[in-house]
Amino acid sequence: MATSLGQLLDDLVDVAQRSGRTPSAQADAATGLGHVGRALEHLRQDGLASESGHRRERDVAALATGCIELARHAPVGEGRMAELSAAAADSLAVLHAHSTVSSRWAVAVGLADAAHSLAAVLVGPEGEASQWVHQTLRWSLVVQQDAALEPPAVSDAALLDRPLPSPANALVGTSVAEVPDAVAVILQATGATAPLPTVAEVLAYCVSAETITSLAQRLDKSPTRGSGHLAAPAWRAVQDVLRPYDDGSRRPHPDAPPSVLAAGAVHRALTSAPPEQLLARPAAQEAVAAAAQHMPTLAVQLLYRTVRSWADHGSLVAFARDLPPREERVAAYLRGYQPGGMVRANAADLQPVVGALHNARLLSLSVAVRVDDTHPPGFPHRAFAANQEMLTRPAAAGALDAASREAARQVLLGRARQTGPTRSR
Amino acid sequence: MHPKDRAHTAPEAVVLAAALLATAARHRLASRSMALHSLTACMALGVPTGPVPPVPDHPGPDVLITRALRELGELDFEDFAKPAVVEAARHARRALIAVR
Repeated sequence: MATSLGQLLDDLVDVAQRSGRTPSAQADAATGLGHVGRALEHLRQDGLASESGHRRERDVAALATGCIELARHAPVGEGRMAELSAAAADSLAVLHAHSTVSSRWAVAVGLADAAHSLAAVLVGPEGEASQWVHQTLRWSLVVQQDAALEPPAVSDAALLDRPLPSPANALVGTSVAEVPDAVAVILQATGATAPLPTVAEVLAYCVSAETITSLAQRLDKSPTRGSGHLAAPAWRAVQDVLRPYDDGSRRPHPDAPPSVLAAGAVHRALTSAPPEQLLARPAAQEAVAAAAQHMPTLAVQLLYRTVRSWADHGSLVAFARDLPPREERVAAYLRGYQPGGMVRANAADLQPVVGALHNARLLSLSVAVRVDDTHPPGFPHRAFAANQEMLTRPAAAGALDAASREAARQVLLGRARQTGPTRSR
Repeated sequence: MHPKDRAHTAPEAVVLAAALLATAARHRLASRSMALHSLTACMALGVPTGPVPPVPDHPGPDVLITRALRELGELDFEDFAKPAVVEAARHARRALIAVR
């Protein structure tokens, strides 16, 4: 089952607060503190403020040292707290590419809260580790005081809700329980550290996003109709504008990559029953509502990572006939749909894709913030709050209106379009 | 910050923070989660705030909570380290990133 760093830290604080001060719990907490210290040290090295040597960085460094030294001087044990701390520390490596200075600060504050709860388990009789327990408690409070003066913003805390896929699982799309994992795999595959997705892969991701948003708009129980019903057509429009482009991936493949299997699993799981029947089940509602919170992030990643890299590397080709006419391409244009009529698509040629993804992002935000606001445990409420905050920005209303108009136009064009044989490639 | 540079003494700052949190909790623009965390933070401080007068739309609840957090953050470490204040600061931070 997919998890998130925020969920791991919430569970860690919960377990630490409920555990007694038995020797085994104390050894478990001390081992956990070692992992928390490791994570804090990594965050400090990556940077927690725009200028080096900032008070935040000094205080987090001191807390990291306290945690690591405490783990060194206390008995070692392996339990639930150690496992959760280790998983949280390791997940930072996955999130590294998506983090910014301010989102790392949000994570550091969460870790400081966890360090305080873990160190509280170790308070006891004077011993070799007791001075480090007091140091750790003190520095965790200092970091929390820093956080009171400079609280993490809503958009920065959203990193804590980014889904992390569970390792080595076969996604077949037989159950909605697979949806969170599949969404996590898709987000990872479109992230900055993953290999550049192909056109065929992006089409698969768009299909899954279309499926999720078309179901998510049915969860909107508010009396006024927003623009959320246009999110699915906006994702369909992305697939339409990608039609002229090719990178050699539009052919039969012997094996599909895991991210494409994940996209297929999302689609199969969410179309296994008619929407009314599917959404009658609370589990399906929860899966769709949670998945919808990550669709704006998917659009952003496709926009700023995938399409930008396609433009920078000139990875896509298209027939000049299918692209906006330009003087330097007259010869290629006249060759028509022959091999000689093919040209490399540059940034200007990819503008329609950029526009379509921008609209899909805005309309996905619109559908994400209108899901029913009774959130079950595990719901990515920080991502939900960040999506809401994004739509309250001054320029958002105008941009959303423009995106809605464009998506509505696409819907009308789609209705008017005659179905029939298309040009073979 | 040196204690003498502060505008308020520790008890005054805590009372002001509690009043700001109580006001944020009753703000028309505060969501349920935000109001709940603000109210919990206010109660954690253990300061009676009395009835809150009608709250104008501006400043918004997030501005009020940020100011309350700043009041708590500017306390001396010994004052901030009191469990009630730490708990209040945690809830105020959660209120700030809560669903609107």
